[in-house]
Amino acid sequence: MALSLKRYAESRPLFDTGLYRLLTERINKERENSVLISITTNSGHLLPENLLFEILSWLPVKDVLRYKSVSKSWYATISSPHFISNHLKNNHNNNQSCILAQYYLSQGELLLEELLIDETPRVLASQVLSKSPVDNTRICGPCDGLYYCSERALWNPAINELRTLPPIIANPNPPPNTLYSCHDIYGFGSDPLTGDYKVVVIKDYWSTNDEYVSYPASVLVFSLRTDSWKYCGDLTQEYYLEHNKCYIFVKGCCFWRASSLHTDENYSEVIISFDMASHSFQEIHGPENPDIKQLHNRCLGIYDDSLGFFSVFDGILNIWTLNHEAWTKKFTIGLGCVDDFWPVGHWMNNKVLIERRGGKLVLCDPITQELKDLGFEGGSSCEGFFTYMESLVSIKDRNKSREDKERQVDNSQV
Amino acid sequence: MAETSSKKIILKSSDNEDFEVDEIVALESQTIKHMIEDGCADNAIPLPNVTAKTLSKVIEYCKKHVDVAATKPADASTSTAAGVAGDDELKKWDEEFVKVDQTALFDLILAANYLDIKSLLELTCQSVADGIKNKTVEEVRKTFNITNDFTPEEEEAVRKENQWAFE
Repeated sequence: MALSLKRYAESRPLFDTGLYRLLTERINKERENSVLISITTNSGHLLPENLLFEILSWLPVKDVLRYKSVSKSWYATISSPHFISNHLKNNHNNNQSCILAQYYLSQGELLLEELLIDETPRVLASQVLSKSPVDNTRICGPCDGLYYCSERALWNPAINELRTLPPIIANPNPPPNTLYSCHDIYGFGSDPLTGDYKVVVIKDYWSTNDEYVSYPASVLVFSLRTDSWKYCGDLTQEYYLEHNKCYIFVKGCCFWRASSLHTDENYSEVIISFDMASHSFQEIHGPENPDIKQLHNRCLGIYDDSLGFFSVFDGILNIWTLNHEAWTKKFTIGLGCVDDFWPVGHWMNNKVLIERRGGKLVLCDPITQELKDLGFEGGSSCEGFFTYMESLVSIKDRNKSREDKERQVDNSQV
Repeated sequence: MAETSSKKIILKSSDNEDFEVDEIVALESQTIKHMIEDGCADNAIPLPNVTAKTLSKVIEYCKKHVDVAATKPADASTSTAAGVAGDDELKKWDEEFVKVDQTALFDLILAANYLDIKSLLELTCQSVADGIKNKTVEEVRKTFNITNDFTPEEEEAVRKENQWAFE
């Protein structure tokens, strides 16, 4: 599996241990070995077309797109929603060794890099995707091969479709003397009931006059199907929500760690969940004592298809999972030293990614209790670690020009 | 069912060969499962679309998968060492299983489709897919005996849509 996104990179991969030559050799060898097959079976039957397309649905995106040129009927079938969703189903678990990582450089610029990780695991090669359309913005995904980009766009890197979302709307009755802040927290996923792709954005209010009064944040949801935003009310109280550095969307919900401010200046840590189908919020208690103010390094992730909570304290990594509304402590792993470790998130559903001082990435396998250095330092701080997943899912805007719709929308303070 | 898996089913291939298998193995095929449920299985079940050669391979596959499922510890999943090891071993067995010549592979696909054995269909289709990766459009046309019905302009336009896929 090569670095598949080199069309978004400036030049040849920077960190390349002869990989390019190795991969070219491997591809040539595969071509020699794969015999040109005949589709007649021993009994002389031809392979029926539905089985032929079943076979094609197992191919990587690049091959499938190329084979669109074979004939008109192939073009039509490969472009069909039925084929695309079959292809998506079959390719869901592929290619978990390719990662999209985001790093802050010291100047504050956010880099997007593609990492190729082998079985050791070690980073074999990496390249900066400086020509990607989501350069210097945060991304979040994949959901069916789609990524949300914080400058309000959806991106499918495999087929290079970028769709800018319409401008976000606002609370029609905002509290007096307020504006939305530029900082927002977002989540992205698909509605488990309708299959619609949705983005949820939580926006804080800022006071425009000198009085410091603060309000609970607004919740806005974008639906790809309706190509529009909806104001879903404000949260019930004020929270300060944390960005996730990995993609957290599990059982139809988005999750964020949050601090909720109490009246006496004490805050406690909770977890906020947002249900993509019902658009409802819930406050959940985390597994650890929420009032501990010591320097706890922790983050959310996914472990074994459930919400995971990873925390590092005193050189120990604790892994909890949430099932049926109860937290279970799954693992306690000694990290070897009381250095600065920050859990970043999950990888491949059952491993924990940790960052050490200087941006070094370490992978922890809770089952074997092993810690492996990925051999990669990206920059001053790892801001995102997302699996690269390919899909043919199209997000092109097939409606008439959005400008017509925009004239009717009240674009307020945002 | 109170009985153990000692119930046997007879499957008859298209070339009239009989194969006796445990019922639990035969039930890996949804098609056979429906036939048994509909009460058509008192005598041998005829499978006119599957030759003896292919049928014996299919039975081998089903037997292996039934055996592995039976010996799997109840709480094994991808998050336990035992679960992972078991899956890896079966995967390796599957990889060896599909190392057959291409025509045999297609026969397996047709059989898996007819007998409705989802995991076997997936395994065989993936294997064929691996064999047609990285081919040129012309090679694919030759392989599947397809005539190009695009005009040169149309074909050029389609290529342009996904130019990067040709590099």
